[in-house]
Amino acid sequence: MAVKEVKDYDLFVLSGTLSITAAPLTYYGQTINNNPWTVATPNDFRQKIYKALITNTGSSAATVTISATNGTTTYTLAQISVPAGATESISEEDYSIVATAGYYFTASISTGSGYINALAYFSPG
Amino acid sequence: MDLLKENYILGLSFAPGKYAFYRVTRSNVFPLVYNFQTELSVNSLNPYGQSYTGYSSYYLNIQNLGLPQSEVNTPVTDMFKIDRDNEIWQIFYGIAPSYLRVLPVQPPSSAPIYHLDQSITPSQSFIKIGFDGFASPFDEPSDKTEAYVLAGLSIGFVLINPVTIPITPKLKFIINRMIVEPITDPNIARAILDGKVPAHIVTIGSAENDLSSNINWVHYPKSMIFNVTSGKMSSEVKG
Repeated sequence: MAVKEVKDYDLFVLSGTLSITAAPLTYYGQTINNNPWTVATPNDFRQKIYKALITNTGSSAATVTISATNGTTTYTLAQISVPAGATESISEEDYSIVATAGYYFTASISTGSGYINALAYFSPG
Repeated sequence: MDLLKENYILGLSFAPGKYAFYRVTRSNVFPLVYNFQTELSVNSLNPYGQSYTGYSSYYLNIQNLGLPQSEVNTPVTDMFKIDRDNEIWQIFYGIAPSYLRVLPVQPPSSAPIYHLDQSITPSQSFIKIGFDGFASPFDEPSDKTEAYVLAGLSIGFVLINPVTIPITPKLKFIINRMIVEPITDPNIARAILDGKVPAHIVTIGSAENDLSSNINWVHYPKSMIFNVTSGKMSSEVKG
């Protein structure tokens, strides 16, 4: 299969509020039956972050960690330093952030608080 | 895409040794983006295997592709319903988003075309059938999706969401609207079948079903069906 080219209609938004405790990135603020909606990667697919904006709303510099977990096993995929009050932009050219089947993304911040908005997509295999 | 052009010959295969041939006399090719949400009020498809209120099922069988707001302000109940004489449409479709899986169904009320046995229909344990947008990209529909629509023989689609977020299905159709004339000379039919005259011969419907009785032959006057058995050819007039 040819290298996948991401089209606009393939992308979906993941977002999350950052705190010291890792929390799942949920699908575009959707709340279904009042449960946060975690996008776990289905079989035969990989889930990849295409671009992400990470904002540190705290008063000191912090490191944001993006991980993939299946609930029992967690892998750290990227650690991004964000100055106080700043927003960092990352893309898949900088960081390859991929969750394989059964895994979903989580994020945490080393200190303070912030938020993350990411565009992600599924690719087969 | 192998679009048929003027003077090309189209062969319709209805059953082993059962053909009808047409010469393309006129053709127009145009794309048509079909958004199921805006045209049919189909909500985003539920995540695979899940069911939440406010969303359509992750598995959806749509028999008629309607156009509620057509250019002439007359709602169209099925855009693939042909009611003019001598028209055959060759269609291809690109799929969005890419992970949407699509199965054509012809005739629309029957089982999907791409299956191994009539008793097998898409289910949670048999979900890999059909083509997705990776096989037929939205902007570049693949040959794999080639299908034909005739008077009396429309087409429907099964849409499957295999991933765990809701998706809003869209198809981009490339429609080759052809005006055809029937080939009635058995010598030409024989030459086509012998490979001496180039023609594009296609199976209509699934491999095991003869859909010739579905076609409204009144709209194909003077059509001839050629039956070839054991090398001998007979013909019957339709239309």
